[in-house]
Amino acid sequence: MTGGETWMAVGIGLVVGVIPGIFGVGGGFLMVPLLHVFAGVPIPLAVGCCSAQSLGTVTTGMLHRRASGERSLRLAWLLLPGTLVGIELGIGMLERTKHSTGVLSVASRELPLMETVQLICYLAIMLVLAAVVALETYYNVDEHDTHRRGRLERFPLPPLVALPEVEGRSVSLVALTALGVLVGFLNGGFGMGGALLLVPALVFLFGVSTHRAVAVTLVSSFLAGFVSTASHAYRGNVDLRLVCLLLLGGTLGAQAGSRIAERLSSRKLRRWFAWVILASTTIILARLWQLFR
Amino acid sequence: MNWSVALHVVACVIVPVAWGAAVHWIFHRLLPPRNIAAPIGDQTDAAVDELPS
Repeated sequence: MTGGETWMAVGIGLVVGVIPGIFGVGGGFLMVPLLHVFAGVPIPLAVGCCSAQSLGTVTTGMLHRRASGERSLRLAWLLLPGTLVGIELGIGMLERTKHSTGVLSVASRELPLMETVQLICYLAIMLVLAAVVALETYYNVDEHDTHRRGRLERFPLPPLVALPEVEGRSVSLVALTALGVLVGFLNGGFGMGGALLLVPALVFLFGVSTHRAVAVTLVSSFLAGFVSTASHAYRGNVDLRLVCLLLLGGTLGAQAGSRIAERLSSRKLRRWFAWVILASTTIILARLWQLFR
Repeated sequence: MNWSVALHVVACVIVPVAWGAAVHWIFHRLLPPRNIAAPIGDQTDAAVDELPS
């Protein structure tokens, strides 16, 4: 790794680290495209390193929650089996793309098939994230309403399990597993912690209060990150030096981000987040355009 | 799995966890707490945690 690449990695860690500092989410959705586009890191390696970096971020968040007395383990453990399956599916998909030499012919130009497909997947994820943030704003997730009923309670698909996290009400184990598979797939295949999806899903679909959903997400992301990082490392998708640089940049960025967040209202935070998603989308589109030219 | 791969896997997991724990210890124990990893709409948690009960 040259000096320029080292500084680039720290810089990317710094930029992406600001995001969890401000918004409280891992920033994996931005880190993988940035590493790939600006540092030339292959997508599987970027995903593995991002997974390891987010494990560090999540460890800090989880210990902080633990210190503040939050205990929400049962739901996180119930999400785990689905998450493990999702991680293996995601990493399996990524492994297939590693050695792919296929090309995609568009308007008499040849694009690398797998890179194009992966970048388009990231674009789709950005759109979903934008929709999730819009929904959160619309339904005002800020309220710490502990008695909200989940949308899935109308469809009690057995087996059901009563959970203290939802005031002892029953939730469908099948639905929880399906959510775990989706979150695990995003974690293993795209390097995303899944917090952006998991928190609103637990709140809207399962009726978990926002405060508890965050605690569950941190524990779940820690367990998922642990398995995902080990699995990526086993397949040679983790460069420990790059991970250390990302962790260093990410820690500095998170401190800066938390200072910025203190001065912003919730509404302004969401507006900023929309700009972050727009910026990431632009970067991916620019890369796709570069491939096409 | 040979020993070098096993060592690499263990290091890749231990380093981020140790880093995260060190950051927690430094920034939440030694220095005044900041709201790292508070989610959207939950930014005031660190401040709330500091309030006397």
